[in-house]
Amino acid sequence: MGLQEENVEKKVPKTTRRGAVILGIFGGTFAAVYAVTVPFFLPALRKICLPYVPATDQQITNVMRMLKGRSGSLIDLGSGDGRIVLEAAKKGFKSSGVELNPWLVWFSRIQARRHGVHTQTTFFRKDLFKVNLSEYQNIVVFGVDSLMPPLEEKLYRELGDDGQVIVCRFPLTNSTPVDEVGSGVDTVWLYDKQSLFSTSEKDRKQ
Amino acid sequence: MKLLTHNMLTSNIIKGVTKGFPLQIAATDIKVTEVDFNPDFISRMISKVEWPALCEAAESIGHLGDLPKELDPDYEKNEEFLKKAHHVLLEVEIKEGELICPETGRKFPVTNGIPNMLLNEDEVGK
Repeated sequence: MGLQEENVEKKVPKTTRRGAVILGIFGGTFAAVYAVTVPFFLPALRKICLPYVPATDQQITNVMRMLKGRSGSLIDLGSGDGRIVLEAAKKGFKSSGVELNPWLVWFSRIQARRHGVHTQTTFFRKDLFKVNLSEYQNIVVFGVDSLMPPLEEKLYRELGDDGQVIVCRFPLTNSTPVDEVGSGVDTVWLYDKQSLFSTSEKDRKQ
Repeated sequence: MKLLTHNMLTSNIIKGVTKGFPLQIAATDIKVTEVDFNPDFISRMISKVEWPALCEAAESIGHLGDLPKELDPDYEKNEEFLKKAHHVLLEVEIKEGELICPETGRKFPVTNGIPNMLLNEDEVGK
């Protein structure tokens, strides 16, 4: 009888400990998954409603074509996983990416290291409307329809005389592009300071 | 924010709002600047804008001047008129204030000439 009691006592702590460990693993995994995925659908739930839609290869190609012959610094407003910033850095631009999703910022920085361009790139978290655009000679933005008018006002105010902005998906509302590359959803438009709320240099010269 | 931009903004981005245009203006700081006159551009913009809404907006902030509320079919050739339109569309700027949704009363702040149209969690449409 004494032996039986001993066996029962020894069994219970083991099961409880194993159960606690299993619970801990599941709980920890759940918390980690939640923490990682929430910022991805958080944009749709909170104030900033700019979804994460990565640039297609064709869009990236078109942006790079538009940057040919340019120099200086570059910023991608809403850089996502950093693909545009990395491509531009490889072409010699001192490139920055602004992105609200902390996991995408973290991922971008890792990718920059992997591609050997981390000294040429900077990624930071900020509301893109709070960035001072006059500091950059080249601006890239993949727009959202309803935000183009406010963005156009911001560019008008802040774009430097030597600055250019490359816009993909949606053109600016009240400006005339200086140049256009590609077609359909991959179309990329170029604007300079003079073409904002105006006709382009090309039209004016005629 | 120019009145040309205001003419492009709507609060129909808010879930359930269908009559979100034009937004009412409550301006606390208005600036008049000089902008190069480009008749071709102005002509093109006039064909894009909602003319009655433009006049209503300009009038509400006291900058309508003698801009006609009705468009003459030959406006493209009328340089006098184009200059007046140019002034109202591009030279009158709302620096600070609010844009108000006519359906819900929701206020969009205008700071340093830039309207903040970003929505909150519960306002986003599908």
